[in-house]
Formats: sequence, C-alpha cells, structure tokens
Amino acid sequence: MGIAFIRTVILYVLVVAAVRIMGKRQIGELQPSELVVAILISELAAIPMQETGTPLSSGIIPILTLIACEVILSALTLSNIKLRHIISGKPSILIKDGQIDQREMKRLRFTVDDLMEELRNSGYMNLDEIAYAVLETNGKLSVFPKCENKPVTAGMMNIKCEDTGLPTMLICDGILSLPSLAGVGKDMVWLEDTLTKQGLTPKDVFIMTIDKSEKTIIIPKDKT
Amino acid sequence: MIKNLKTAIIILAAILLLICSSHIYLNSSAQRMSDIINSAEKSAIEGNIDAAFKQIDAFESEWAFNKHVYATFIRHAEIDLANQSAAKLRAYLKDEDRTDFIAECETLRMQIKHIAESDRFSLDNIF
Repeated sequence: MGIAFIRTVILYVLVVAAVRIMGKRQIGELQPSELVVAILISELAAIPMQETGTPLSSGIIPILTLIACEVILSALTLSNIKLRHIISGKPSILIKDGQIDQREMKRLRFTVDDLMEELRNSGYMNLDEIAYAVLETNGKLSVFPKCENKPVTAGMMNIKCEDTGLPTMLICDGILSLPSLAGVGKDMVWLEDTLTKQGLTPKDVFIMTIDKSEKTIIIPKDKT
Repeated sequence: MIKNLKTAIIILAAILLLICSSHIYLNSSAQRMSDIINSAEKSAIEGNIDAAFKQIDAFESEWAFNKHVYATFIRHAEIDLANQSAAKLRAYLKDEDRTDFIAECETLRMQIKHIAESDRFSLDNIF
C-alpha cells in the first residue's frame, strides 16, 4: 500500500508537469491530437499506480514520450499549415449567408439537434438570426448573427467611452503586491492615504484593485 | 513554445539514451550470467561440486545486483521467477542432486534469456 501511495504521488506530479509542458491550450480546447494524448496519459498513469509489480518506468517513459511528441508536433504544426490541416483539420462552415450547408453537416455527422443546441448555447433561438456558423477544429461552433441581430455596441451608437484597461490587483486577501503598486505608478504613501480615508489598513482589505482611470475598488475583509 | 520545444527534444533524447543504455546493459549482463550458469552446469556434469558451488556464488552476487537494475524496467513477476530458480540451484547442489540441478540451470538460463529478449527491438515484441 505504501508503494502504491509513493507511486501515485510520483505519477501525479508527472502528469501535472506533463499538462503544464503541453501548455494552456491543452486545458481549455482540445485539438484531436491533444485529446488522444490526454486520454492516453490518464490510462498510462493509472496502470503503474495500481499494479506495483509493473515497473514505474513503464508508465513514466510512455507519458514523457507522448508529451515530447505532442510538443514537437505542436511546434511543427505552428510553422507548417499543410501539416496543421492534416493533424487538426480545417474549420467547416455549416451556415453560410443564412443557408445551412446540409452536405457539410452530413459529412461531419453533425445533426440538426447538435446545431440547434450550439446555437442556443450562443444565445440564439432561431436559425434565421444566423448569418454564419463555423465548426472550429476543436469542436466548438462559432456563431455570427445577421447584422440586424447583432448586439448594439457603443460604436454603433456613436458613444465615446474611455478604455479603463485591465484592473490591477493591489491587495489580495490582506497581502499587498508591491510590484503591482509600482507597476501602476503609485507608492505606499498614496496607498496608506487611500485606505486611511476608509479607516482601513492593508491587512483589513480583502480585495483592492485600480484601473487605468485610477478608479479603485476596495472590498474590506469580513470581520466574522 | 521554443522553451517547451527544447524541453521536449531533451526529454526525447534522454529517453532514447536510456533505452539504448538499458538495452546494452540487459544484453551484456544476461550474457555474463548465462556464461556463469553454463560453467556451473558443466562442473556439475563433470562431478566437480566444489567448482559448481563457486560458480553459483558468483552467479548469486551478479544476480543480486542485476535484479535491482532489472526491476526498474522489467515486470517484477519475471524477476521473481528467476529468483525462485536461483534459490533452487543452491539447494539441489547441497543435496548433490545433479539431475535436478542441471534441469534448473536450463530453466534459469531460459528465464534470463527471456528477460533480455523481452526488451529487445524485434517485430515479435512490437506486435
């Protein structure tokens, strides 16, 4: 049992490292080759975890080989479009100019129910609202509504709006980030002044953010 | 991406190096142990029990080291089988049971050969 525990910890660390090496894309959106690697890694890690009579290397070597092959293949597909199309496929247009491409749907074995489900997930109830729908290589459907169904934007209304940028986290759970403070061009004097006005110290703050327009959001910690 | 690519290439190169070195080690150590078993078997056939004992001692010390290395890349069940055979050899020799000793030498030689062949690059092993 102790051996199984140690093996599990080793393989856990290895699989976490494997997913990190493969990159963030792996976690969110799986390309066909990435899906294969994800399935295989889970199987390869499980066998030596349970069977202590199997050498640990019979799990580690295939996992490392898969990661290496996947990373090399990703690098090759990045620079070679033909290879990328072979490995990951091409996006398919299912709705073009409001017309469903039935032949393409048949070819992809994509049912009407699948299409309607994806459209509902994107917030559209009727097919006549859609101008284009593209099935991406990771299996997700990108939906582009007709002009009259597009959400109204500030640009359409000629409203001028200020870009407030990405808010910077200055204090998180009472812990002050000095690099973030320096990054937004502020110092401790400014921070203490801002917090003192609200009767707080950095340790009393749960979240404090600042954006480009110098608007701060301060959420104090719960006293309970 | 470049950093990850470098890591991947280093990992792949390390794996290939490990495979080649384990392959060479497995073959050479298995050959050495088989030679010792052959000598012990020959001594037993000639009735030279003392020489056979010495060769079994040499085999056991060689096997004691090799089995720990083998365990990192060979299924442990195969090593256990060879362990059992190695234990029987000394017992047969103590009883001066030459027939069973010779038969067990053959079994052990086959097991060691199988261990060496189980990791060899061959169509049988791949498919």
